[in-house]
Amino acid sequence: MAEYLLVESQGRYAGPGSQDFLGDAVRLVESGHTVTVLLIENGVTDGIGSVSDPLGRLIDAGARVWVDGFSLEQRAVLASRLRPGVRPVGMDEVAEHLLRPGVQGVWH
Amino acid sequence: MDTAKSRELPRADVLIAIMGAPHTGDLVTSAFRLTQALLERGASVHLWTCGNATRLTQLSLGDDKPRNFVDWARAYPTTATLATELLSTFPTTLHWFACRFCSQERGADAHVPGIKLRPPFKFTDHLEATDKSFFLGVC
Amino acid sequence: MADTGRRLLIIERAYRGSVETQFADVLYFVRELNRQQGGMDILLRGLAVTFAAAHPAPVPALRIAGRRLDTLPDPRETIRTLVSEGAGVWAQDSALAEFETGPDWLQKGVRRASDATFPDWAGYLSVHFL
Repeated sequence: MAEYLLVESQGRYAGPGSQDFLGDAVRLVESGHTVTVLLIENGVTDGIGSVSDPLGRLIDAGARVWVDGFSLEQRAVLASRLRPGVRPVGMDEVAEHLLRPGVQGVWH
Repeated sequence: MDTAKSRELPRADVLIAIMGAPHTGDLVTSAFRLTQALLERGASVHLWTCGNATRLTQLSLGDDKPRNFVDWARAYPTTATLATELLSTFPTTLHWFACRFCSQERGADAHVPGIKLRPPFKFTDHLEATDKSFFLGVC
Repeated sequence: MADTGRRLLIIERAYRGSVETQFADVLYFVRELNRQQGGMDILLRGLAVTFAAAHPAPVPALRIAGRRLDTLPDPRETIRTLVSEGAGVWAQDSALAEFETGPDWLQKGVRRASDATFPDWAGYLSVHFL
């Protein structure tokens, strides 16, 4: 089975693409692959509240969901607004993860 | 200008291709941040710019942005300056390429030293020469 | 609706290029236009409502090569300045609901735009999306 780092950078304000991409992540998890999703840039908006159904399914399915702390700060989004299961990370941790053998990255 | 015509392409851990346009979202910021974090870990990186992203390293940008009329004395580095500093800080592990076609199409093929022009039909070589790849944005 | 004698700018696309833009973001242009026009109204929608957060945290800096880049856009500070310079700033409440964490989240002087209280286009000289 493969291991993916999927990066969502656009978020729902840019249109339906982010939900489609998170749906891709759900399909990968449900197929048995290991998935880490990173929400970055305006993509951090998908980590807020409970409006993002694919993200909820992802968390329920056991995917790791990260949100970029720098992007949160830039956008004045407080961690208390994040839905449970979404963890703020720094780019150092992202780079470490990407460099792990076998991890494939996809950026949306 | 280094055209990288006949040299062997160096292998790298990660290819970061900036396909989307600057000034439309934060993809350039993310590219700089991820590149920095990878290089600090000793990884090697190919940066490739396509489309309007080729303007990031235009020689004509100079060292600083135009003056800020509400903060006249403050200097703001251009992306060309930041690219130059990255290349000099990580001279053996960072390789920055600009698409030759996109550069010429925009009249922007005079890049700062260190940026290598590559034809788009060689892009696949970069995919083959790197273990992982990210495409940021779309042309 | 009374004629405001002003123009209305609507901003809904937010965070367009920190490293390459720095001080020269969309609000830099708005500030200059507000000066030239002698007052304007601005409606923030979507993610752009976060420009009006009272959040006290500073804009984060970046490390690039050996440099600490601390000249990234600071939209919240610019909104504060715009209000102090006489611009009318509105933030759409449906978007605010996504981000607000309490009554002090929104900057003082920024008005909520709702169905009941909304900048009426008919009262403006012109309306533009930026």
